[in-house]
Amino acid sequence: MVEDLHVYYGKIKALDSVSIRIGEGEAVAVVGRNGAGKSTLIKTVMGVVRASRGRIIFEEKDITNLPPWERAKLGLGYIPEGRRLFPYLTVEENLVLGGYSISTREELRERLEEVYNLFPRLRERRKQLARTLSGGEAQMLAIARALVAKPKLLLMDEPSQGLAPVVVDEIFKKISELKESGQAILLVEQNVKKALEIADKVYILETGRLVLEATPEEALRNPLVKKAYLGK
Amino acid sequence: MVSIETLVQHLVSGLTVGSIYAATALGLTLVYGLLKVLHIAHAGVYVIGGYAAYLAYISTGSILLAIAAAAIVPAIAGIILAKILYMPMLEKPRHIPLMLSIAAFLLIEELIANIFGHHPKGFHIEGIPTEPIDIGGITLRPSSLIVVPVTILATLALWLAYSKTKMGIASQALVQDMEVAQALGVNMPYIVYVNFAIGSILAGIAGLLYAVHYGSISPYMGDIVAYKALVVIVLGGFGSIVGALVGGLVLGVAEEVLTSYLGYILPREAYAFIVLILLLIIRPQGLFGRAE
Ligand SMILES: Nc1ncnc2c1ncn2[C@@H]1O[C@H](COP(=O)(O)OP(=O)(O)OP(=O)(O)O)[C@@H](O)[C@H]1O
Ligand SMILES: [Mg+2]
Repeated sequence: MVEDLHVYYGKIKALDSVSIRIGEGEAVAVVGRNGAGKSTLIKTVMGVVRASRGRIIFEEKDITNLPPWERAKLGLGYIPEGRRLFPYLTVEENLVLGGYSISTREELRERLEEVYNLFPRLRERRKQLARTLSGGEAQMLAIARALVAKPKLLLMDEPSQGLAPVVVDEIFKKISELKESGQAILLVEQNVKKALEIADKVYILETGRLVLEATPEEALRNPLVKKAYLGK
Repeated sequence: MVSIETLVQHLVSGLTVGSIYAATALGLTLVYGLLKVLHIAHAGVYVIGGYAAYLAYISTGSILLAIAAAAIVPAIAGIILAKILYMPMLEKPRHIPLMLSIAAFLLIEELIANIFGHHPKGFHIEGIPTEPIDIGGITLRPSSLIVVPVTILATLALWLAYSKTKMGIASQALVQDMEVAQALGVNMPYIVYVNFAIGSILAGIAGLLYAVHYGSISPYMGDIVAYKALVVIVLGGFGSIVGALVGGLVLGVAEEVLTSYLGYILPREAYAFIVLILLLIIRPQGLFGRAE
């Protein structure tokens, strides 16, 4: 849950009193155009950007002042915009980092097996440097990397970015499977159509402010959304 | 006429000096990779290592304690420097920690000079012969047989730790994307301190190796290292461990060979920069650097 969040970059206000709520097992989408503040929101929840006002509550615990690595331990998983893999590490090393907070070797092994079963193509490429992956594979790895630690809440920043439509479909199929399995997700997207397909609830962010909170059905009927975001 | 014997002799002598450059450059390259700052005060840590070993040795006479002192005291010094100079300055433009680092280096030098005197101190370890030995017509200083293998082994160990252990991989991840590594659970300050400790231990050991080789230490022994270690990490490629070793050795040998065959047309130090400039023309990313 995010409450009355304000974020500044120097003097520039990037988020202005943003409040959202994600229930257990819920998929929540935040959509908005370039520069709306979507990445800022997700980074602030993860803790790599600091909030100047407001609170972030995770499972009844105030985590607003915790560093990102503590938040990762509590169960936040981060899939950054533009994948941001570690290019000079192998696929497997990237995954091992995803499981950094796992303490025993056996558990890590098990978790790696599970994500390899989820993304068999990554298993074939485990020894390959991450920088040699195709765009789709790289996005798979970014998702898999966040899943190794079995996060309670998955933060996804524009997983469809820069991918061909077929690959976007493939990625969203995975995301929807994750959701079906009970994974809570905060998804930030410009691809509104795709985001609405999997979300339980959608927020629209415009220049740092929330302008709409709705169910996907309501959003699809909303004339403003239709006009501005679905091009109808 | 150049005889094989003298060439080998210069080679060994160059490798020995180069080892000391390399051992100090390793810490610099680790820190640069993580924080993108030139850790000039590292040369001060090297001096601290030399003096810590000296004090431990003259007060106990034990080589093992001298080695322990050359490792532990610099490790603590390195962590303190990281804590006060660099960690609070992470968000600042990179020239600010650089200037602080230079100031800290000068401060360390002057502190040591004030406490222990400006003059070099003789530091001979018993049991290590100082007389040159003759192996098949090649005259070697016995210290070379310690300095070079110790450095190569230390680099190898560091490289293994860096590429195979969880902590090493976390360090690499921080180097490649600090923000994301932290978001995945890497406790950044902790890893930074560990890197500083390891780099500083290597610098401290290098300070001891300097004493083993030259038989003395001086408060100003860090001056040359301060900029040569820079040359070495540029030569080897910023952030590369193997590059720091090879860069150090190449620089040591090149200086030695150039000064002995060209004489002192130019000061020895100038040769270092000629080697650097030539290499950068051919390979701008350094020997082992990654072309971006
Ligand atoms: N590190 C930064 N320093 C200064 N300003 C920033 C920084 N990061 C983002 N901003 C500004 O904050 C605003 C919101 O940026 P943000 O990246 O959150 O947008 P976004 O909705 O994710 O956009 P996109 O769809 O292009 O990814 C923009 O005006 C941007 O210029
Ligand atoms: Mg963004």
